[in-house]
Formats: sequence, C-alpha cells, structure tokens
Amino acid sequence: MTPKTRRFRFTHRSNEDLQREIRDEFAFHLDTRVSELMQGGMSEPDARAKARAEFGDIDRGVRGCVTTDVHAERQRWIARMATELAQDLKYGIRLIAANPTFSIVAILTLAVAIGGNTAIFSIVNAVMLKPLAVSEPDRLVRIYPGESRISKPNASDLFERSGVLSDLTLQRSVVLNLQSGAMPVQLVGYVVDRNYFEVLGAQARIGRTFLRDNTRSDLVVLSEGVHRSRFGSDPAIVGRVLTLDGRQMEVIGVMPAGFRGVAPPMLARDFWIPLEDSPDLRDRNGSRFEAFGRLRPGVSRTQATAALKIAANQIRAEFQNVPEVFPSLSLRAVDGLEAFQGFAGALLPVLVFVGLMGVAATIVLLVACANLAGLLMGRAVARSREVAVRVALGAGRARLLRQLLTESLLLALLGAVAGVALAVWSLQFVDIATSRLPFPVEFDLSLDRRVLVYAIGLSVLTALAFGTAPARAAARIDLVPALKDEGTGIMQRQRFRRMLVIAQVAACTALLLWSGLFLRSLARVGQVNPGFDPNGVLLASVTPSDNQPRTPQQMGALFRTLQEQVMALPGVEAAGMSWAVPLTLMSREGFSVFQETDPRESRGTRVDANRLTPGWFAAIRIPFIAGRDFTWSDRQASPTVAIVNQTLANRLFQGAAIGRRIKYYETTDEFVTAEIVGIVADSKYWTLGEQINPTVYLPAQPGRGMTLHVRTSNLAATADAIRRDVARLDSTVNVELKPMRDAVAVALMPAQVGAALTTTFAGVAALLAMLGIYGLIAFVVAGRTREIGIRRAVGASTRNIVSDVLIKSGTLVAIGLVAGLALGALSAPALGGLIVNVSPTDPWVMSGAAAVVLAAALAASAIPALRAARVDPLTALRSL
Amino acid sequence: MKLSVVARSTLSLLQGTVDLLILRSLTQGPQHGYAISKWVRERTEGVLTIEDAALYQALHRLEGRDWIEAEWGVSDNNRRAKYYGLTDLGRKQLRTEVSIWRRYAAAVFKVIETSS
Repeated sequence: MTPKTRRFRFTHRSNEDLQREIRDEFAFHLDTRVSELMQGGMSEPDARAKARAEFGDIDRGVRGCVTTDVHAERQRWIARMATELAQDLKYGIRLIAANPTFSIVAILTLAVAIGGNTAIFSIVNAVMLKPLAVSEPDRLVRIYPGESRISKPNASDLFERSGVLSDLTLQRSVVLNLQSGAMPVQLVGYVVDRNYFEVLGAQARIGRTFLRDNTRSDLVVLSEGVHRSRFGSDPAIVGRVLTLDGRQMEVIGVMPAGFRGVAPPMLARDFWIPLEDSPDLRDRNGSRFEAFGRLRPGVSRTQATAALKIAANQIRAEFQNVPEVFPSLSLRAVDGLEAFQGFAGALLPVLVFVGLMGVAATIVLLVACANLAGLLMGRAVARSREVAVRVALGAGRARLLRQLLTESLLLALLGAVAGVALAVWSLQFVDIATSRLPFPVEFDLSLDRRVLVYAIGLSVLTALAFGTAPARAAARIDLVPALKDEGTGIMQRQRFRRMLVIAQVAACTALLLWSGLFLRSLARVGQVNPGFDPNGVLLASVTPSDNQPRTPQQMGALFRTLQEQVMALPGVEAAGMSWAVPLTLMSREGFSVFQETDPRESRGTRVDANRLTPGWFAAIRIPFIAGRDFTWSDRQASPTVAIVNQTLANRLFQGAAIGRRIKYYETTDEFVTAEIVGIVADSKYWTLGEQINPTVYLPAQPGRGMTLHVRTSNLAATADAIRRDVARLDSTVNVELKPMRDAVAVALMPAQVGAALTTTFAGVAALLAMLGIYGLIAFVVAGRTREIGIRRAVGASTRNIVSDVLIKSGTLVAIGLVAGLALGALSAPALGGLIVNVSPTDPWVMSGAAAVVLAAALAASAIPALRAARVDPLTALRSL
Repeated sequence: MKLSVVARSTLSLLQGTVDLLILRSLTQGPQHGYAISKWVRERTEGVLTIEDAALYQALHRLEGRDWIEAEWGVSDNNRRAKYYGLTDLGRKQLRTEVSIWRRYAAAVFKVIETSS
C-alpha cells in the first residue's frame, strides 16, 4: 500500500495550471452574466460585449491573480516548513531525551571525531590560511631577486627606479643571547629597517615601535610571546634595559600576540632591533637582507614584477658585484601557500606530520559515522512499528525521512559543540609541544569563523553520512509485516551493518598499527645509534658582544684561544666547534657537489654540510675511517680541504676518496674545489629517522655562530670552569652551556608526539569498533532469540550457542583485521622519517595490533553471546 | 441613501473597501465570484461597482491571507464554479473592518454636518 500524499491545496501547481484555473473561473462568470443579460432580452453579441466591458481587462486580471496566488503559495510553504521544522526539532529532541544512553554515546563519539578533525584543521588554518598579522597582507610582497637576500643599495635602487612600490623595508634574522639570571637565553629576532613596522602597518600593544627618524640604535621591540615567557607579561616592561649579547638595549614596545613580522610560516620571532648605519650597508656586496615592498595603489603584482625586472636589468648592467641571478627577480606573497616557497623543504616534515594526523582524525570520524549508522540502523528496526503506524496514519515518507534526519543533525550539532570545546582543550598540547622546540614558533590557534564553519559543516556532513541510510531504511518499511511485528528487511540491514563493522575493525586496526609503529620507534629511538655519542658532551655557545668591534681575525683568535684553554681543563678529553649541532633542528646547510671532471651543467650530488674546527669529530666520537682531521692551518689551505662521510666516499668514489677532489658552489657563482683529506663514519644530521645523506665537512674559521662541543668526564665541573675561563678571557662574552644529551632530545619529539596522537586516535577507534561489534552482535542475538530457544529445546548445548555467536562475530573481525593490517602496512611508508628503525611489517607491532583488536572484539561479543546462552527455551517458545 | 457625485454616477472604491464588501457578501454562506459581484451591485443599488477583474484579484488575495477559502463546486446552472467561503480568520477580520468603517464614517459625517 502506497500512502496517499497529503493534500496541500497550493503545492506543486505550475503557472499554467494556475492560469487555466483562473480562466475557467472568469469564463463561468462571463457566461453566467451573458445568459442573464440574454434573459433580459439582449442579443447574444450585445450581451457578451456588455459582460466583457463590465468585467474589465481579462488578461491583466489573470496575471494579477496568478501573481497573488504564487506569492500566497510561497508564504504558505514557508509557514508550513517552519511549523514542520519546529515539529521535527521537538520530535528530535524527544527522541534524544528518550534514549539518553544512546544519545550520550553518540554525542561523545561525535565530539571526539569532530573535535579531532577540528583541532587538526585549526592547525592547518593557523599555518596556511590565516593571513599574516600585517595590514593588507595581499598588497605586501616579498622581493625575491633570484635568491632569498638582497643588499641594501640594490634594494634601494630597485625601489627608486621601478616606481611601482609605495614603500620598501628590510629584515635580517639574528640570534642574540639575552642575559637573564645566571644562564643566558638564546633569542631569535630580526634586525629591521626603521620603517619596518610602518610599512607592515603594525602597531605595538604596549609602548611604541621604531620611528623613521629615530637615530638611536640601542632599542628593542619584543614579541608578545617573549614578553609573556621571559618577563611574566610585566606591564612596566617599556623603558627596561636588557642585556642582549652584552649590549644594553632599551625596550620601547611589545607587539600584539600573533604578530611575527614577515617570518616564514609557523616560525615566530622574539624581538626586533633597528638596523644600524654602517659602511657595510652602503656596499652593494655587503650584508644581505630579505626585502618587502608595498604595491602602489592600482599596481598589480604582474605589473610590479615587470617594472622591477627592468630595473634589475639596469642595475645589473650598471654596477659590478650584482649577482648574476638578480634580473630573474620575482615577487612572492608573504602569507598563504606561496609563503612556503623556499621553506617547503624545511617545513615538509611538519606538513607531512599534520597531514598524517589529519588522516588519522578522518579515519576516526569515518569509524564514528559507521558506528552511529550501525546503531541507528538497529534502532530503525526497533522503531519500525512506530514508523509503520505513522505511515498508516498518513505521514509522508519524505516528512518521516526529514524527521529522522533531524535527529541525526541534532546529535551531530551537539557533538560539534562538544567537539569544538574538546579541540580547544586539546590544542593547548600543541603549545606545550612547541614550547620545547629550540626556536620560537607562532601558531595562532584561537578559534575563528573559518574553524567554526568547518566544524559545523563537518557535523552536517557527518549527520548525513550516518543518518541517511538508517532514516531511509526506517522510512522504507513495509507496512503489513511491520505492523504484524515480523522483522523483515532485517537480513538486508544486517548485511549493511556487517559491512560497517568490517570497515570499523579495519580502520581501527590500521590506526593501531600506526600507533604501534610510533610506540616501537619511540622505544627504539633510544637505541638508534646516531653515529656519534652525545653523552658526556657539553655544548657551549659563545657569543661575543657587539659593543667591541672585532675583525674576523680577532674573533677567530679569541675563539681559538678559548678552544685551546678548554682542552687544557682537567677532565676534558676533546673539544671542537661546529656550525650545525646535529639532531637539534637548529641549523642545516646543504649544497650540491660535483666530481672534479663533471661539467658545469651536471646535476651533482645533494649533500648535507657542516663547518668545523679541529677536534670536533673526536669530541663527539665520530670515528675516522681514513685520512686525518682538520688542522688550524687548513682554513688557509689551497685548495680547500674537506672531510666526507662514508656514504659520500662510497657514492662518488667507491670508497677511495682520500686525495680526490670535489667541487661545489659556495655563495658565489664560482666553483670551489676541495681536496678530500679524511673519511669519517656516517652519522645522523637532522633527525634520527633519516636516511644518512652524503655529507661534506669543511674547515671553519672559529667564531660567532659556532658551538663548542666539549667531551668531558665531569659535565658540571667543566661547565663552571668554562664559564670562569670565558670571564677571564673576555668579560663581554656570553656563554650558554647545555649538555648535548638534552639538546638532541628534541630529535625524539616527532616520535613522541606521533605516538601520543596516534595512540589516542587508535584508542578511540578501538573503543568505537568495540561498540560497533557489540551493537551488531547484541542485535543479531536479540533477533534470533526464538531460533536459539528452539535449538536449545532440541538439545543444543550452551557451548554450541556461544561458539555459534562468537564465530559469527569472529568472521567479521577476521576480515576487518586482515584488511586493516594490509592497509596500515601499505600506508606506513608515508610516515617516513617519523618512524625510526621499525619495519612497517614489524611482526611485534602487527601481532600486537591484532591482539588488541581480537581482545576488544572478544570482549564486545562476550556479553551478547552469554546472553544468548541464557535464553530460556520455554520463554522463547512461548512468545511464538 | 443615494450619493450623487458630479460627472460620475458610480464611485471608485476606497482602498480596503473591496475587502470589506467581499467579506460581508460571504456572511450568508459560500458564493462564487459572479454572485459576489452581483450582490455588491444590488446591495449598493449600483452606486458602488467593482470592476470584475479587480474583484477576482481581491478574492485571490484574501484567499492568500486565509480570510476566505476556495473550493470548486457546481453552480445553479449546473456549471463548474469556484466557491469562496469565509474562514474563522475572515470572520474576525470582517468584524474589525466593520468597526473601523463605522468609526471612519461617523467621523466623516461629523465633519460634514458641522461645516454645513
């Protein structure tokens, strides 16, 4: 029986229908009038003419009536929808309140699923979508003159000659030590042009920023982050004098939260100091800066690029020492995806990581959807009688569908509210994690409209995903059997739920596998041999003050003296300086090297590079395979000398590298040729999980930016001695001391964070899958009560019944398990460098994940199985 | 009461009057448009006439407001005709309009009488 659609007088009538009806109405009027007039003795044509005259303009009348009717129809429709929506909402709320257990489970499930996704999206939003905290960020451009930096004279000439920019400003990263208490703290900041803040359109939150006409250079503007973390948000900070690299600097302002200058995505800065005038600044070949310009009103980026290119060509033609790549100038956006250009390499692992967590969160969401769909499907059957009664009483199917979906939507929205709260709560862990990084980062993770729209949109999609099939199933019910209380269609719905359970088990197995890989790599990471021994090594970052100008030679001499004095300290076995400290995510250098005979055009071999003073390998115990360490005179050696790691020696020279030559570009366009004097064993450079790259070590002038590595039998005593030595040597020099063991601990972070996150997600997914299995098996058992009763009556044992139920769930779990393990193992290579020393098919991880899933499945099936075993044959049969 | 107007023997209707007339015409029971038109002409003795096209638009408008409801039925001359009947809402509206008209007319009369 198909129910008649309820009669709504004004629905679904086309304009033509309306017109026809109105013309019929008018025709009746006219005809009646004509016949009346004819009865009065008038001839038919006269009567018709008179009737028409009385009536007025028929066509206009028809049009007027149609317009009125259409308008009225729309009003009625809106009113009806509003009432029905109100009814649906009331019905939905009643349903939710009537099943508090189900509703709470559903809302919590959705909260975790939507919350996880919202948290991940907040990070993506903060990193990629939120505009930079400057005014009109889309009119601010990074000038990229073929390379990342440009000297001040070249930048000024570009600005003046092109005429397409209304303003230009410069910045350069700088690391300074803040003297605070006993230990100096390393801060990362920018040296900036005085018009910097004006060009960016940024105002201080407290105090002020630099002024164009200011001549004092001992001023500093702090970021909100450093103001909070180092100065306890002291409101009286302005006017305070800080010692930065031994120099007295007066704080004049604090920037608002979220302001990070024009830093690469995610990275933040602690302070800004003004650029000091110096002869170097007037040198075309002098210090290089990042340059930013504001486009003049009405000038597009394409136009500006063209004009700047012309200017660049002129400058290159006119002056010497202008880089060859200068005319290939381009403009880049300062935020959004374009800002990743040039930084993508360094930030890629972070992006991959966030991406993977997004995938994990999405899997949880899908599992949650599958689960809720399954539970609702079960309820659809339980509700079939109610629905059938309502259909029989004339409820429309579309209306029923809408009512049932409203319930899902309400659940999803409640879940979204809880989810957003959960996301906000969980995002504090991002702050905790990032505060452990050795450089400042800035994520503005505060909620904004975009995140809220995302969460709401996601909840609506979720509601449709888990609500549609059950609602349709409920509304599609066949009346007669349903009213007679015979559950037909149950078999069909069971197939759907079985598929859902398999999918859930598979997804949760894959996540468990991932989390197992992270946990295992976390356990293994301590055992990974980085190729060097950080234990018993003290790191000393020594920074001379800027107040006493020193030539590079003087600086070199100072550091060499320091290194030699430290080596003479009791307990010190070895010491040496390096530019990059391995596994600290701080500094990384790389370039391409070529064999001596390679033509200029060849691609070369990409290598990691580091710059050292003698003794570094001994200090961190990287053994020599062949050749010798650097000596102090190597810096002046011609040709340059180099030490390479084994990977490079093998790849380029089949191991026999000593005495061979390599060439590479340094900063100039000219090749530098270096002779290999030593081969050292491989060691990790950037992360513990990485494949070891070919690596080149070059001799360095000791000096600023170098870190002294000291191997000592007594860390504390040596630290004190170094501090005393430094003070005696030069009282203006700052020294920051740290055990290398602590510094490289940051390399464990990806594995730690990964393990924490995937384990959380996997745990949630496992709980959800348990719920799904329980729901299905309990439902099947309930549906088969009579059958089980009969079997018991004819002599089936408790064991038979229980094993029968367990086999049923076991089959589903087994299929899901196999699929999940395959899925997890196949996708694991995407985790890449985050997984250390663990194969994606690690038998322990695989069997561990499988064991957890099986235990969960058994627990979930046990209750319904035992319930089946307790079925009383008499009661079951009597209910027939 | 016969009103005479210069140059015209019928009055153009004031805004809102048509609604009142239609509602009033239906107090005896449902009617089709022709009957309403005829009723108005007869009751006002030809003074107030509504152009039929305008009458029908008014009928559809009132129907949209749920003051009257329409149904197709069979007329005395055995033809299909659309009958309009008052709704509860329409009855209420009629009472309101009548009282407004009474007050309006009384006020106008007062002005006319004192000035003459």
